[in-house]
Amino acid sequence: MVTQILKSGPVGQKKNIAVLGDGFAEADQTDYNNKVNELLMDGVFGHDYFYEDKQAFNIFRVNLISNVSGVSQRRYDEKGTPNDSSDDTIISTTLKDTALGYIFSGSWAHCWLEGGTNTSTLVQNALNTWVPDYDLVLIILNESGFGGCGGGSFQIVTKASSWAVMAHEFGHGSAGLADEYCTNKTYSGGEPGSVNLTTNTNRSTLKWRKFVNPSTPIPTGVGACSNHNQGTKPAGWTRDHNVGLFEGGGTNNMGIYRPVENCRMKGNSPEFCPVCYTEFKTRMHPFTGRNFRNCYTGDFNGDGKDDLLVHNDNSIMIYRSNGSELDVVFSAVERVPGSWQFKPGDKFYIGDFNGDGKDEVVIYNSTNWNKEYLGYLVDDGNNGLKLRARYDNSMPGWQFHRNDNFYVADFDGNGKKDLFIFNGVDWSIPYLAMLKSTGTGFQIVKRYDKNLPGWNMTKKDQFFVGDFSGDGKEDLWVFNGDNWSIPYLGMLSSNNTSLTMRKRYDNVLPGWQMKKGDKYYVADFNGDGKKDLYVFNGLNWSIAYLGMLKSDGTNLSMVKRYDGNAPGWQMRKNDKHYVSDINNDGKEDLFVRNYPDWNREYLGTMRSNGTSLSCGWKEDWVGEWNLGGIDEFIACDFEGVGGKRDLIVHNTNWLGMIRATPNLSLRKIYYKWIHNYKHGRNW
Amino acid sequence: MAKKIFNKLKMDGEAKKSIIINPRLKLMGDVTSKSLKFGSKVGLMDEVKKTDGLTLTQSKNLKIGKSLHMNTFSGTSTAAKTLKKYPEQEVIKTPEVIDVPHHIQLRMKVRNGVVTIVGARKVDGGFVKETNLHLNEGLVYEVTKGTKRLQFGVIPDFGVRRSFPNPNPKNEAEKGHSISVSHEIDFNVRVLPNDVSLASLKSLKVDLYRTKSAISSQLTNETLDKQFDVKLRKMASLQRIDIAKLPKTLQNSFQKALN
Repeated sequence: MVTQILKSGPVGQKKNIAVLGDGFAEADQTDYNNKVNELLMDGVFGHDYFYEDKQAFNIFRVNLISNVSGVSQRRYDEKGTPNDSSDDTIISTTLKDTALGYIFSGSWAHCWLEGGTNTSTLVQNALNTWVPDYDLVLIILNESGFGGCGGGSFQIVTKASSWAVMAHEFGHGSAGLADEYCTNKTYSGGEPGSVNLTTNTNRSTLKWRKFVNPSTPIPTGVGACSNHNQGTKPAGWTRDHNVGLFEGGGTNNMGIYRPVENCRMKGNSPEFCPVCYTEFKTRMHPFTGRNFRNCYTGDFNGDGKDDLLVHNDNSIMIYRSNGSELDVVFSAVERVPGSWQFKPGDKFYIGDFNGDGKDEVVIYNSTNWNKEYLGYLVDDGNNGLKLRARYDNSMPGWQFHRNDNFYVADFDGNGKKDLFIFNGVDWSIPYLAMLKSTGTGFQIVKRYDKNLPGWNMTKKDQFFVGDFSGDGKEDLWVFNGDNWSIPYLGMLSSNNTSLTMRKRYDNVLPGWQMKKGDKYYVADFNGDGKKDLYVFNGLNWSIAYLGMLKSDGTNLSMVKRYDGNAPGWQMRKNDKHYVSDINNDGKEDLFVRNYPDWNREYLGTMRSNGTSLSCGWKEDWVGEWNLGGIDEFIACDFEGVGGKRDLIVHNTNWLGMIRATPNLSLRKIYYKWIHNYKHGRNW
Repeated sequence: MAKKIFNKLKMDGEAKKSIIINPRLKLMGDVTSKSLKFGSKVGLMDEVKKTDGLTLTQSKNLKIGKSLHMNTFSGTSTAAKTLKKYPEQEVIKTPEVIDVPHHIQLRMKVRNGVVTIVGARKVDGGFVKETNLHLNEGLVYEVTKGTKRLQFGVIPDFGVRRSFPNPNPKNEAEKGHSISVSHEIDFNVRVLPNDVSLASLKSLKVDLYRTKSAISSQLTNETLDKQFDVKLRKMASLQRIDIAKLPKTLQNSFQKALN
């Protein structure tokens, strides 16, 4: 029987690991399953590189039933030379009728174990039958003595083996890494091909030079299997992440060099060093299928700094912000406990739905399953997420449909974000519902069919949320420029369980002639606690317009209108805006970008003083970030300084962290994967 | 990140003049609200009876097939049941198509330097076709049909068996691996169904190279040995697959996979 215990994707697009057991009788199968989980899932794939790149692998566990428990045994007379197997003789062999016929010897020189007469055929038959797509094979023997033998994409281990050694072995088997440990030999050969060994002591041509800090002496450690012994070791030096050139490696004491003092390829226990890690990532990146297209920000640990959630196909990763960099803290493939199964069509909504000061995640999928699903994922207490509630197909008062749109808003002002749902497409009439968060799930407190108070809902209604009345309850704004003879804007205030139309504007706003192409941005630009409105139109007039309409709680009034240009920014048709609070003064500002209308790409800031804007911009590049049409921006606060003065910028392969204060500048740039090297980077 | 060049205007250092986006359109101040009606397609919101909600035009736009309404909702709060354990999400019962509906997997074996084919299967879904060769040490295989490369792949670990280090070493050597020679390597080749047929098996060639120096490069249309020349050394080759000479079970596998 085969069970796929890691489902990352189609077998052709992943590296497939087959796990077989030998010597596990019917009654031992639970023991076997637990051992697979302990060694492989919680061990190898629960740590550093493999945890991060789970999405590159499928794992298939094959439950082979042996007729007896335990494996065959062989004892050697090592003649007093345990290193040399050539003079060894067999003292005894006790054969057992097991599924694969492995024989455990407990002799290091004999690879601890060996195959029996038919082992090769039995293994091949099992693989062909159960996991014909295997790329890597792990065989676990029901043997309590220590032992393990690897090579050629196979690892055969006993139950007493450690996951750390297995991870080291996978370093050979899947990344072609060389051993970095030393024995008492001296290397006398030429330059080795391995990425993590060298004989070259020239800094300018050293194969891992990009990871070596210029202040690090080369060589860094001289002498038999040396550590840092050339000059003073700088503060903050780590044995596994600071790269230099250390004598000893490849099972030699001298004459050859390794990149760090101690890496998993040397001492098993440390994490993979930057050189080995990068080799893994480079080789496996195509098999992860990852990119940076679907990014979301939220403060998932409540430290005030916005973190990053990246969704790819059937996986998510959460990267924790330390204010200027991101680090992986959570990697989930296929599902999270609970369970929510990730799919490409998942739509994510982030907010603090239970009022615990940390952001949670609501996911809606209406495209990848045979029914619609709404999931509510909360902190699992270990930097990750778990499912707290799930609604399949419907919930009392609402039947999910393909084009349901969700809006995150605390409409009852209790500190727990709630949801509005609107569907104007899939039914004969439009529907809008208010989903109150209970902290553990959602319940509908009001549903509007066809009409909202003072508003006839139609297909192309555009909704926005924001507390225009300043009562702490987030309200609903609605604009329609498509379905009527004239455009309309409605301001519906929330009173916990229902909505009331406070004001509807027909055709004109104060100082603003509404048009189909109006873009609305709800933002408290004067810091009075009432959300105001920025409105931009670059489509329907001969020049572009940007208006600032202030809310007094029930009405809007035009504070300032910019015709054609704003101070320091020439407005154009394709300007795109993002609400922010760049200087953390409580007056919400705008980021603005334009790439199609100029011969360079522009990213700008429009800072509000409450009544007007002042702008600044960068052209073409922000630091090392080359602004491009494919870039997407998310305004956030990854620095944790309050307000929203930061931007996550991302496209398929690149992700950048930009801050706007004092000027637009790039804090960090990542290519293909997010990792903070002590020195250097992966391109 | 590469720099791009456009032949458009640059933004001035200080914005002074409004850019005319479309001279055929009016300025906002030039129009009255009356002139802004979107033509004759729909009415005004206030013209709609409150009970109707929608004009005929809107109803028409919104309807999907026959009248489709949500179930009645009383307006009272009802909490959905939160289960402790949720069932598996239900999969759409159609095959998942990613790049191609299926591909062909060929299982290759290298034993004592001789490449043989030991299996063929049709596999659902697409597969990864890399465009960069990244190889520091190890082997790389290339499957070609004529001059066309069908697939290539890296085999990072080959030719050895390593014992795990002894946690209680009796001597210095046992702190590391005991290395012995292994003469067998297996690997998968994945190709598009259109690239391989029973008839074309004879023109399929599998070459296995050992790297002589590190390569990290985008592949061209040339075969690996032409593109990388002395950086690679051919160590084995399967010149053609003669299906008639294969064991019967394997012949059947090919028939099943390729028909």
